[in-house]
Amino acid sequence: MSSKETSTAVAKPRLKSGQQRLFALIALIAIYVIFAAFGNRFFTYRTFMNILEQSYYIGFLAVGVTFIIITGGIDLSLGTVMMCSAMVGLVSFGAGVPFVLALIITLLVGVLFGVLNGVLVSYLKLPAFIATMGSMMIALGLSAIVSKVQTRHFPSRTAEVGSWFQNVFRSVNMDGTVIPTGAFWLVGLIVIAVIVLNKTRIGRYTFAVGSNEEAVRLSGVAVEKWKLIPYIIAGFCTGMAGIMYGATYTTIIPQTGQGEELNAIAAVVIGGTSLSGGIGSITGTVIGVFIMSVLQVGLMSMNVQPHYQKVLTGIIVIMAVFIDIRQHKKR
Amino acid sequence: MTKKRTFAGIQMGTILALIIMCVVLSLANRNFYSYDNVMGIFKQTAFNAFLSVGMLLCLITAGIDLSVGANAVFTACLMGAMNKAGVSSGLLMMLVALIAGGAFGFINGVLLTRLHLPHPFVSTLGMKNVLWGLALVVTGSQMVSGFPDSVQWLGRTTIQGFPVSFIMVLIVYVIMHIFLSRTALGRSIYCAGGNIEASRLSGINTANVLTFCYTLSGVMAAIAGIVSVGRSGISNGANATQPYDTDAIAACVIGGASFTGGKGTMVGTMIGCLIITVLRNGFSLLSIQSSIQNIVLGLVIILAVLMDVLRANMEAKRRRLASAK
Repeated sequence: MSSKETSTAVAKPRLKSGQQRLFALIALIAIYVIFAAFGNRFFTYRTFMNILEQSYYIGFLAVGVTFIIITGGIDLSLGTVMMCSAMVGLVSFGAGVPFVLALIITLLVGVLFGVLNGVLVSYLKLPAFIATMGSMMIALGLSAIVSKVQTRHFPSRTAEVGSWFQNVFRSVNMDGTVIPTGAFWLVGLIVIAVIVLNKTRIGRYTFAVGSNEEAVRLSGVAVEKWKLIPYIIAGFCTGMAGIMYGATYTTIIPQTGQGEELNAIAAVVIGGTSLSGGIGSITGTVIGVFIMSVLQVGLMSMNVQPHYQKVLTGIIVIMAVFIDIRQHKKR
Repeated sequence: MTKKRTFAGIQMGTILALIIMCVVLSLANRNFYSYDNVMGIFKQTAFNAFLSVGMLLCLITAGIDLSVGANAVFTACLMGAMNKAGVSSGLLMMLVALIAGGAFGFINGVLLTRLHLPHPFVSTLGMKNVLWGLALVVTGSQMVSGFPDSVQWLGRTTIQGFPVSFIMVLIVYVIMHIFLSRTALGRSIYCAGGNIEASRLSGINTANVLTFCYTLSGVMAAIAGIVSVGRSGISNGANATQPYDTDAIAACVIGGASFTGGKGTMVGTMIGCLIITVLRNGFSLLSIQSSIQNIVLGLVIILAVLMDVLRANMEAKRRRLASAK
């Protein structure tokens, strides 16, 4: 997008990004302390688990979309695709497909939407937000069609088939102590994402395309391919988020998921990833994810209606973008 | 302005598409060309047509306003909240709605121009969430009905079956057409979209022009909110998740507006609005469920933008060839 601006900033983004990450970390601790002081029974193990569980699916969405945002793109279809992929998986499970295969189908649907978005943006050169807005509507429609507008449920712990599902993806109760198995998945994802972004060609080209796409093209690199890959990564993460969401909340309602993408994007931008592309980090995103989930759980513990949270998320996004711009200007 | 010819070309194409759709639907379903249904189409178009005015202005400036749909729902809910609180004057309700809608549009404009957020789609998306939440907050997420007649007049009244709201749309479109093509401010909106730096250097206060566009977009959304209250008799905060914004974007882009800015006409947008409504109306006549409508509309948007991108690429290529000669 505004690749010209960022190309000169690329010389010292590490420090800037690091500063904002530190700032975000301080904000996270401050928010946590405030809720612990004023919230109703906030400072408990149970609430901590709540925050953790809230972070699973936002975490997967946010880590995936970090790759896209670093290339200077965006994905508005995250939330609806997450629900849609979970729904397609559930419906195929209901139709007699083995449960493991249904989960793989869930992942596949996410990847397919990622491929669709990526091809539209990189090869057909559509503006990212409009292409993903189109696929958002497709995902909304698809989830309603396959489910015949009926709510479906993932198997609970007591279910005949797939009772292991929540144990594997949410938490397991071992003689009274609850072990958050979902957190292992999240940590695994974070480790892999950090390695991919910082140590592989995929990561290098993701940054390069985001900071100066034209220069990368002129140096003989197939830009289209490297712009497509982040969308596929995000698609995979979105499918995975569908599974994590299913494990945490079990209930999937068709035609929902709008607004979740904003939670994820807010987390990414809070973590110091610039919407202009070329700058960003996974660790920052993770901090942003926890800020979002602490806010959600904390406001709930103070009995604030969910509507206010919507207002707050909107304001947070606007403010985070504002800070992002200010940082660019200071240079 | 050599672009004029392609403008006309696009519009001929879209008009042709509209006519073909109407013919096909008339053949497929006898009810389509009944007087009631045609009037129903006009009535349905009004809401989207008002939203599209604001959307078009923002698109011309190379921006976008994703908060129009939520803004319309919010203003409707604001009137609902006033109704619940015992305000009996419909005029006051509408006035407050218009001011509130305009104010949120103004905030969008200020965020973009004074605080220099370069991504209107992110800040307006944030604003969409804010307005969605506020719509639920002011009404306590309840549906409100029983509005005074003066509020419902615009959306409900018909003259011999012809909806007043659509007459209003036509008046607004004619005024906006003259405004965009004949006045200095209107022309400077196109200039700002074509090349913002050049228009700033040539003495146009681009910040004010952009702020004006977003404010007007908010006011138009408020009018759409009033229309929706009249048409349905209720205000419902849950409607904020409906894809109103995408309908408006689709109408503008089908009508020849471009995301790169500087393009788009009121006439084209009008045709775009009619195409969207005919599409939705035809789907419900053929009893195709709304979820498939969403998929098709999503594809329509992608296709329309794709054509726009291809057009821009071809133009760039032509220009390159011309300069090479």
